[in-house]
Amino acid sequence: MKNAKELIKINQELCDSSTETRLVYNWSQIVSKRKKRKKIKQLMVLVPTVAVSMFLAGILIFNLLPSSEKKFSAQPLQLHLGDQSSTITVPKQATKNKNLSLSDGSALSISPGTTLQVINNSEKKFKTRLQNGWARFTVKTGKDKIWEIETDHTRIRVLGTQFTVNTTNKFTTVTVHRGRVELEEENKKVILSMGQAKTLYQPANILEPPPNSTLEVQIASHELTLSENKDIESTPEDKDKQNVPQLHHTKSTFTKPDNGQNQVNRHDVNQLLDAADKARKEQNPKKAANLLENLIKNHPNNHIIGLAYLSLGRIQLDDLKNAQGAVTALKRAINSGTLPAPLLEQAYARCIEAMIKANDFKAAKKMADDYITQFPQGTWKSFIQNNIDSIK
Amino acid sequence: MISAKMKNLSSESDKELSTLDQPLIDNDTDLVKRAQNNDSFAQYTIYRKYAPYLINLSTKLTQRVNDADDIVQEAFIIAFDKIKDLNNPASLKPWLIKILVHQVYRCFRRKKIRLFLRLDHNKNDTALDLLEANSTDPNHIILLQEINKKLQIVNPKHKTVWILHRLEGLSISETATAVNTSTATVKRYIASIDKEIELKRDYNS
Repeated sequence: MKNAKELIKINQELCDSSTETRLVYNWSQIVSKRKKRKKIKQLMVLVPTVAVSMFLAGILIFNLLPSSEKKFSAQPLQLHLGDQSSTITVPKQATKNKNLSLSDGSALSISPGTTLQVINNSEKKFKTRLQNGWARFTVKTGKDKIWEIETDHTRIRVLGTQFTVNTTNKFTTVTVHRGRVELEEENKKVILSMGQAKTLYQPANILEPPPNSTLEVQIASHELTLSENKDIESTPEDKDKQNVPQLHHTKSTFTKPDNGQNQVNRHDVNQLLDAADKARKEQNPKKAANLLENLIKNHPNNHIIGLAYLSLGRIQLDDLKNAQGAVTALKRAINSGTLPAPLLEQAYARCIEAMIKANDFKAAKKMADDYITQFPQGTWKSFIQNNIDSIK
Repeated sequence: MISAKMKNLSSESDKELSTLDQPLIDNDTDLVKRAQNNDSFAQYTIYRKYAPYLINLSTKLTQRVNDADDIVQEAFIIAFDKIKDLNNPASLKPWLIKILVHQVYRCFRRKKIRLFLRLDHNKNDTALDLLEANSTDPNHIILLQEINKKLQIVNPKHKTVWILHRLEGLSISETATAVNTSTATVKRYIASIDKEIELKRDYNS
C-alpha cells in the first residue's frame, strides 16, 4: 500500500526535464509556426478574393468586348433597314441552317443550298425572293409592315406569324405553323391558316426578276411542264400508272450527255434526277435506283432528298419487287420532312403497301393510323383502307 | 536532432529574446492584458513562466520527448491566438493546462491511428522512473517503476486524469475542468486506477 500524499512529494522531487535548450528551441518553433500560419491565413483570404475578382472580370470582359461576343456566341446575321438587293446564298456544303434576324425582331432560317434575295427592306415593306430552297419565316406580329415572299410559282403575303417555304424549280410548298398567309395561285388569292400546307406547280407569270438584281441563280435552268398536266391531287390509281410529275423535265438548259450513268455529273442533283427518270422510262429500274442512291449518298442535306427517297421506294416496290428496300426508302422519305403534303400522302400509302408485301402487318396498321390522324380527308384514304382490309 | 535544429534557429530566437530584454512581470492579470494587445514581451513572459511546468506535464502524460515538445508548441500557439477569449486572467494556468490536455488527447488519437496503420513503433522514451533525480530515495524509484508498469495498460484518458490529480496535485474540480468532464467521471477514473495500483486513500481530495 502506498500513500497518496507521498506521490505528490515524490513528483516534486522528480528532476525538471525542461532544460533551457528545450525551452529556447520550443519558443523558436512557436514563433516560426505562428508566422507560417499567419501567411497561410492571409492566403486563405487572398486566394478566394482573387478567384472571385478574376471571375467577375471575365464576365465583364465577355459582356463588354464585342469581339469576344462574336467569338463565343453564334449570333444570327443582322439585316438592317435599307439593306436592299442583297443576296444571301447558303452553300450546299453547310451543315446547319443560316439564321437571319431583322431589325423588327422577325427571324428567318435558311437551309443549305438556298438562295434568298432581299428586294425591299423598309419600315413599311419587306419583300424577298426565295430561289430554289427551304426557308422558315417567323414574322413579328403587331407591326404595320407588309411581308412578301416571291418564288417561281407564287407570291406569298404574310398575315402572321410562322411558316416555311420550300421551293424548287418544279414546285413551291408553303406550310403554315402559326397565323395565316396569303398565296397567289393562278391569279387567285388563297389563304392558308395554321396547320395547312399548299403545293404549287404552275410557274407564275406575275413574277419578273427585279431590276438590277444581283440574284445568284443556282439551279434555275429548268423549266417544268408536266407531261400530262395533271394536278397532284389526282386519284391514286391514276398516279400509280404515271410517273411522278416532279421527275419529268422536258427542257433543260445545261448540256447533258445521255450516253449513260458514267457521264452524269454526280454532284448535280438535277442531272441525277433527270438521268434516273430517263432510266426508269427506258425500263431500266436498276440503273434508276443506282442513280437515285448516288443522289442520296452525295446530297444527304439537299431539300430534294425526300423526293429522291420516294422515287427510289416506288422503283423498289414496283419494278425491283424489293418490298423491304421500299419500306426503308419510303420511311426515310416520310421522315425527311421535305416532301410536300400530296407527295407525303403518297409516300404513306406506298409505304403501307410495301409493309403489307413485306408481311409487316403490325407496322402497316400503325402507319395507316398515323396517316388517318395526319390526313383525315386524304386522297389516299380509300387506297390505304383497301390495303388494310386485304390483311384480314 | 534538437541540437542541430537549435543551431539554425539560434539566431532567430536570439533576436526575439534580445527584443524582450525587459523585467519579467509576475502578475498574471497584467501579463494577460498585455498579451491580449499582442505584446510579444508579455507572451514570452507567459511562455517562460509556464513552459517548464507544461513541458514536464506533457512529458509525463505522453512519455515521449518529441511528442511533448510538439504538444507544448501547439498549446502555446493556440493559447496566444485565443488569449483574447480569456475572460478571467487569474485562471491563466488552468486554462493553459486545459489547452495542453486537449492537445494530449489529440496526440493519443493520432497515435492510435498510427498504430492501426503500423506507422508507430509504440515505444515510449520517457518513463516516470527515468525522470527521477539521482539523489532521490531508491524506494521511490521502485515505487515509480511499479506505478509506471501499471499505467502502461490502463486507458490513456484515465491515466491523464490520475496523473493530474495524484501526481500534479490538482483538485478534483480542477482536474475535471482540465479534462473537460464532470467531477463524478474524474472520481470514477481515479478510483479505477487507484484500485489497480492498490493506493491507500488516506486523504480527502
